[in-house]
Amino acid sequence: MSSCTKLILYLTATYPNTETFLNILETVSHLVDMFEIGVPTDNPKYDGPTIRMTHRGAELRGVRALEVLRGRVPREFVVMAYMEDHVNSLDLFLEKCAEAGARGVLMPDLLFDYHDLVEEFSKKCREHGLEPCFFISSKFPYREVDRVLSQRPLFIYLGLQACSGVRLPIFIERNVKIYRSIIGDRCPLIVGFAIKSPEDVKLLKKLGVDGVVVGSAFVRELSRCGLECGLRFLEDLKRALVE
Amino acid sequence: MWSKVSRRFKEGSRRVISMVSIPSYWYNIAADLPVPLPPVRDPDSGPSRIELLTKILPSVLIDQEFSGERWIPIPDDVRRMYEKIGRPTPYRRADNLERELGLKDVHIYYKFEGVLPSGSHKLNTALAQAYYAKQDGAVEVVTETSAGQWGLATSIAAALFGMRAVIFMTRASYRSKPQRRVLMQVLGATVHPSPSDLTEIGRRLLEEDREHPGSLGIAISEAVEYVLQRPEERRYLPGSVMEFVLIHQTVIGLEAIQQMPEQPDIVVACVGGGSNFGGFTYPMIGMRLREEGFEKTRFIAVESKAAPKLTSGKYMYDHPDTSGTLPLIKMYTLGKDFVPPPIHAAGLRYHGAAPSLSILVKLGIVEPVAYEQEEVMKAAQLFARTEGIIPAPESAHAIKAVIDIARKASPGTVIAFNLSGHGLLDTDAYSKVLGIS
Repeated sequence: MSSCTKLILYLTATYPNTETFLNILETVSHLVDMFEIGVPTDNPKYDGPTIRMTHRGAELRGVRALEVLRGRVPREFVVMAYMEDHVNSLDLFLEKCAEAGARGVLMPDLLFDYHDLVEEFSKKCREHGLEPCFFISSKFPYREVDRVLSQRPLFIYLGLQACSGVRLPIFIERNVKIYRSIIGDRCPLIVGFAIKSPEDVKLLKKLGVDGVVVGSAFVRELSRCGLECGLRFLEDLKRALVE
Repeated sequence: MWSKVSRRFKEGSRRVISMVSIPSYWYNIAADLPVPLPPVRDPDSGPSRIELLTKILPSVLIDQEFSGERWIPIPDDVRRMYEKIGRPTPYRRADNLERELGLKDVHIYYKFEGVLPSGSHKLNTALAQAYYAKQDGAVEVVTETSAGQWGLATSIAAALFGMRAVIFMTRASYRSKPQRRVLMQVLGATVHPSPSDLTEIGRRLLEEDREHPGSLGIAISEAVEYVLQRPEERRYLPGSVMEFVLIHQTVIGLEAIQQMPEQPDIVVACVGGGSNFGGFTYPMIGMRLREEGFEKTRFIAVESKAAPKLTSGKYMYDHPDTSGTLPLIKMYTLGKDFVPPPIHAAGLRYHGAAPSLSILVKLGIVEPVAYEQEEVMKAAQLFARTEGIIPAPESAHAIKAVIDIARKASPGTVIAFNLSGHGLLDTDAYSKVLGIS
């Protein structure tokens, strides 16, 4: 990842159906620097209501949804999945991610519910030609950030809010500054959760993050008035990032 | 801070330091934990409980719950209130108790929060929470209470900040502990027995059993539902479990570290939801985790066998309230529907423990122990008859553990515990223990 702030779009694979999902990827790819593609699951435990709805509404489940990505994602992408779903078949899952063409894999529950598997996860990712990515919360232990950095991740993803798409009165500037300062320039820091306006991304850019992830707000725009609104929304964010 | 403390330890002073300052910052242990705190979660169905927090809690408290900051500044107005209520509280040597136990070179110290106007540590966070509620424009603060300590603290805080207080008091305590109820009313608070007919969950439970004793979990549900009936002017103040509550309570431990003439080998506090325990021990545990001191100190959490979440509960996601209105948190729990038997230490009748405390127990950094009421109340009497302070039944759990530990301790052992409250309003409990009608 280079030094300017990237726009990363989160989408749940095959939501609302495979055809529309692939069409969205194609249509918005010129505005997006990277995709984060979620593997639909029955238990999107750390997600907010909007992304939960996309998991429930996706056409395919699990690795079957990954298969449709192969050669069809027009930009660099990482796969987001819950370790809980794949802990017993991690090799197979990572193999499918690699076959799909992913650059990296992000498992948001890894550091919280499978703390002992961090090193093994990284090792297995690399065996499959993938780069590990790590999700941290807004009150993550400082020393644990160092442990994560020692895995040489593609990026660290800081969740700005308690869950995706739900905005609480959290002083995100302070939290971003804390983790930006701990991470320094050792690894790209991307941020997400409840980012929904050009003002949000401008602020985050000013705080020195390397990428912003939007997901719930884009889905809401799609629901409101279709892909046209989604495109306009991304254009506004992109403009705010390059200004 | 540690350099000052260690210097004092090295000097070997036995004098109890009284000139300490009120801390300027609270301590947030999340920054130093060996593993991250699991995120709060929404249940699989229904509306987002996480989103609901914005309608219930003062906004700064939500921020503090999700703050990555290790040291959180205490607002000047809250610090002034801390001074007004009598902080810093004393840290004393229990030398009479040591003599009574026949201890040889085993020292027992206690931090005494019972000197506060509420008679317990609860006021430390009540003041902060009421202050932030007022900042949000609220005119009424609402909460639950069991023994009455949290309700009393909230009532005092509301009075000091010129707000109204509405308290849902578990029915068992409403009846057995009229003293604190009356004091809350003197302070201007409105006190309802819980379950009550003011809320849906209360009405449902009363239909099942008109004499339902209530529980802290039910009272929390009622308080939250009551706030949601008029969120524009009401704010809910939780008495324990939430991380920001433990954060505010760290004034206890931060003061104690300044006051300690000797570094304790064993640190003890009782656990209801964890605020008294966390408040006293976290600044010390934090120093240990940062390798700045307390390397060999053992930390003992004492709970009631009537609500043994740390010793018999499961580590899992559960609601902090009975109705499931609040988000899921990962903690040691007996299940949100657990209704503990009525006991003297009503403040320990809670089904779960704070997520940070639960993690520390799971990692073995904190050792839990549970006691029966009878043995605890005997220890309370022994403490009263030697140290001249009648402890709250909750705090007496810590005393019981301290006595047991001290009797087996090798010479040179130093024990410190938090005497979180006095028992001057627990005459009902002591009457029963003494068989006085």
